Amino acid sequence: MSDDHHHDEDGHHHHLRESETYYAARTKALESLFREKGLIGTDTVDRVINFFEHDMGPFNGAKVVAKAWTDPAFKERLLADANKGIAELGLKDGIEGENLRVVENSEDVHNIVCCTLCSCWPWPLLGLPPYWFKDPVFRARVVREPRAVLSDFGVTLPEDKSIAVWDSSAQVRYFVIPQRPADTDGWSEEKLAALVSTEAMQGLALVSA
Amino acid sequence: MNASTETYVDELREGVGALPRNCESLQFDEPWQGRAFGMALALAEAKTYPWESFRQSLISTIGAWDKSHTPDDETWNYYEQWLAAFEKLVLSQGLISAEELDRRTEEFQTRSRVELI
Repeated sequence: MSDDHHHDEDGHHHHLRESETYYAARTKALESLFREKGLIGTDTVDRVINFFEHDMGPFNGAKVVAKAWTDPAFKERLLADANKGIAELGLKDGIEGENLRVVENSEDVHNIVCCTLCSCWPWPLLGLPPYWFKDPVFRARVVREPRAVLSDFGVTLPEDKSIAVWDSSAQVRYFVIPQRPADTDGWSEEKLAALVSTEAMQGLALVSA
Repeated sequence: MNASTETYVDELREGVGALPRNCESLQFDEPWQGRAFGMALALAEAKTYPWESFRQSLISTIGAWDKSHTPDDETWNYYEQWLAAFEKLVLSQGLISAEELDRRTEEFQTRSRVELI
């Protein structure tokens, strides 16, 4: 990560906005001061980023979904207590992973997750939030016209299916179990997990085989 | 896709790169964003401040932006909000001073400081 940072600074300046220089310098100044004061070590930030790159990501959430699809008893436990459920799979909650709640899509209900206040997101299950989740247009529109937003994501639901929009916050962070696609009987958890996208686990996509 | 709505996906593409439809893990457009992200977490991990303090700072920073901009304002940049929230928090906690931060920023901008970060 340090290397990338360095290269970018020296190599690609002309591609970037004028303000890039300021933000890059500002961020370096902060890190430099924190190092000097002994508040962080020289490799601390690299370690944090590395952790997010390798240990936290949508592959964790996909594993949870596949397990819930294939093991009804696990799914019940997960719906009752999501943090205990993911612990069974060896997943840690940690920062931004407290107070998870799992909701399940069905023939009758489709769940969508947003965070109108900022960008609360189940990091341990999905890694960092993608661009669209943090976008002000998305945050403003999803509560008001979820069907239109879904349609822009390429999802059209039957008219009679109801939509529930869940607003994540520090108190509760939502996670969606999408509907299992047809014709996947007997598939392994691993094969099923590969079908599940980040968007599907926040209700902005369906899963197909 | 619904053609009647000025497609949302296209709105998101403008100026900020493609919408990550199948996002991998990290979503940093520029390296400083990753550093800013990592620092805010690192200091919380080290118990320099509770994570909730950062979160509250982020909520109020984004809240102020939401009030003074329309949602489709092109100047929106999530990690600029993140960095602003982080600065506000560390300054208000007295971890660093505004003067030393400005001075050091200038040193990096003018390249008079040689420190690999």
